[in-house]
Amino acid sequence: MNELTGKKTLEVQSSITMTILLVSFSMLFGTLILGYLIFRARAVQWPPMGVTIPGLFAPSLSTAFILLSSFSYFLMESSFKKLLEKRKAYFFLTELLIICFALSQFNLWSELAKVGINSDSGILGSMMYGFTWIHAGHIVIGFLLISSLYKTIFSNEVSFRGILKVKNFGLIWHFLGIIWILLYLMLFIF
Amino acid sequence: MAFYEQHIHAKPKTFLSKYVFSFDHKVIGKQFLWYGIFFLGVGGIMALMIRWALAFPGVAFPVFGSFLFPETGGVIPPDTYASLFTLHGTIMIFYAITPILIGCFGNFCIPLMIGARDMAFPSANMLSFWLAFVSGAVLLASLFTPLGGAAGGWTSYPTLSTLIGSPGVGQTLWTLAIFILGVSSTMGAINYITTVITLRAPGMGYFDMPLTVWGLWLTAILNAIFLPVLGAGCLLLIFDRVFGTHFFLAGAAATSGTGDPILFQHVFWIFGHPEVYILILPAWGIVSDLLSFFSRKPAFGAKATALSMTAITILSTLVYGHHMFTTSMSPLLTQTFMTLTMTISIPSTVFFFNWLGTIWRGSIRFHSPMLFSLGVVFVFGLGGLTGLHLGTVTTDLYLHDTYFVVGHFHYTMAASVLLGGFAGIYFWMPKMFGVMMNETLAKVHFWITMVGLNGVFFGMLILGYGGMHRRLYNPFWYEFLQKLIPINTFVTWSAILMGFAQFFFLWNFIYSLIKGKKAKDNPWEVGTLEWTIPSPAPHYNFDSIPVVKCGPHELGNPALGEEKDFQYQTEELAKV
Repeated sequence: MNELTGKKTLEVQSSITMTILLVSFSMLFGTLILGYLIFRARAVQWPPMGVTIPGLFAPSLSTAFILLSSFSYFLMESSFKKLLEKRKAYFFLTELLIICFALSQFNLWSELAKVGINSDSGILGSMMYGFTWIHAGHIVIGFLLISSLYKTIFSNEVSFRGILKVKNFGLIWHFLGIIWILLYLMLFIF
Repeated sequence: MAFYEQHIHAKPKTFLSKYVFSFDHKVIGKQFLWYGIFFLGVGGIMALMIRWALAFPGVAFPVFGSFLFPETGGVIPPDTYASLFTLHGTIMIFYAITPILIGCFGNFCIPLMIGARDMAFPSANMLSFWLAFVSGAVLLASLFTPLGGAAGGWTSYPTLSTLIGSPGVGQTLWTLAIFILGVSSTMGAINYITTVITLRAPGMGYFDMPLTVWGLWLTAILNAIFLPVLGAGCLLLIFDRVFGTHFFLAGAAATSGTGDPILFQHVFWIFGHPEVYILILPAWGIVSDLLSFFSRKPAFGAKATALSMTAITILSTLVYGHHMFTTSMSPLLTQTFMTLTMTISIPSTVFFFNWLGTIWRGSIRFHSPMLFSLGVVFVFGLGGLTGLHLGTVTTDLYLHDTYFVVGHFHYTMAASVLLGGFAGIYFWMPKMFGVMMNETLAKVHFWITMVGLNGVFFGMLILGYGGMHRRLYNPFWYEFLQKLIPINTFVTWSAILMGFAQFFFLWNFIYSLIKGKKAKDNPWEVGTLEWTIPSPAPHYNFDSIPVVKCGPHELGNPALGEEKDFQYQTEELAKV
């Protein structure tokens, strides 16, 4: 029996949609991670002979930015629900941190190039660039989604749809943060 | 009172908002139908060209040959041949069957059959179609690039699909087109799943849903989970082709780390095997309903059929390795995949027997949708049984990459799905367009198609068993295959016959749209929710959301009396 009503239906629709969407994203990134694990397990030597992995500063900077942006988003979401004035500042802070993350990714790619790792230099370079490009593509989508919240956040009332929207875009953003941490651990730490 | 009032868009007034950028699920369903029929024609012509080259090697292709291939005097050249079989497979699977079975019937039927006014997300639904349109345009554009269209096969295995095997832009555009289509289908899938879960009419439990909706819903679940896997593979392939990465390029310098072409096969088949079920589940669902409707009996074991389809959906995710038995896989893995593959026979047999149980001693009405449904029972039986040979390691090693494989998957993915699609078009035509199609023409279409189709695909099974490999431009360079020329000629004439039969459909379809007999609200006398409203279905479907009181297959109930032998889902179940 399907006896959902009004707000409850919207909430259920929203959580089903987000669950499926995040499962879809997980399958995409899961495929990449599976590929990495296969290469890594079969490699005679890792990193491959003659390849130097760059220092941790650039990727760690990216990690710091994306973690901070997630935290800032969390603060924006909770102040939005209470309609606190701070929500506007947190909105801009989140956007700024996302831009910083994007810039730090460009910095990371140039650091990679400096130590001779290019997209066409073997499987390690392929993975470092390929995986981070795909992640970056999602970051652009995330940035656009969060930017589209401008009206909702700056509005003087809190609607049920608005709360759902902020919650859902937040889920996507936090998910992208988790994916970045996995990539950071895989590609630069281990 | 409606349990949940969906946001209702104003009735469209302009041509653009009514027919082009429509939010209405019915219009989007019809857009997918036209899109699918167009590509069915393109893919069909390609199939005939392939068959011509195999039956009459070195002979100019009739009529268009000298125009298309002036440099070879009208003979299809080898590189074009490779492109033809690549695009034929791609177009038929992704651009013809998927839009018709999933895009058209999914969009048109799901809200109507569950008693909803539209999809959960109408805007995403519209976007899904237009992304599919962009994808189709990119694919067609790839044909006109300097080195021609993609030529790596519909599976696009590296190295055939990397710059080594396909240096032209065509293959890159192919990969991009598939990626875009994947995004479109994923959006559609999210919409279908959410709609089915949240917008079923009050009183409609999952087992009160028609089996058509079950099939489409399970398909959507598989699509949402596995299309991103193909998407990842496509992105990496694009990177290899455009940015010089090495994901799928093997090299001698193992210590410096190179890629692995076999990895793409894993990625492709993790998606690809569920894809078989993605295509066929909607057809199974439609056929399961239609067999009951036209046998004037409740679907035998309807719950078991729904659960069997669910079991197949789950098992389909675990068997992809049987496509890769010849890639030096460890014997432990091959045997594991073989066992899992064989396990699928159990739920398949359950619902196949349920089909037979449904028609057993039924008062069968041999209308065109029923004929096509019976056709599915026949061809799917053959397709399923020949699958056992390919799921078994020992026989697969001999049959792999032969025409036996081509025959098998055409019986399952082409014949079953195509016949199921035609059954659906003939059945829902009254509700879609408000007109009936001509039954005589439909029956002629069915019988000629059945003869042609079996000539083609059974012929392919024999060719494969005789050792003829797929994808060879001219197999008759090999002496042992020269004896198979007559069978190839027979297969080609059968294909021409099958192609000819489709003109009956096209004529019938277009003529009916223009001058067809006006349909009654419920011409087939069945009780699912879409038949409780006028034909064609009005804007926003239901005046008020229906309340469901019984299942979708309440036919032939003795308690109903003499007047009618079916009851609507909105009626209390008649009891003696």
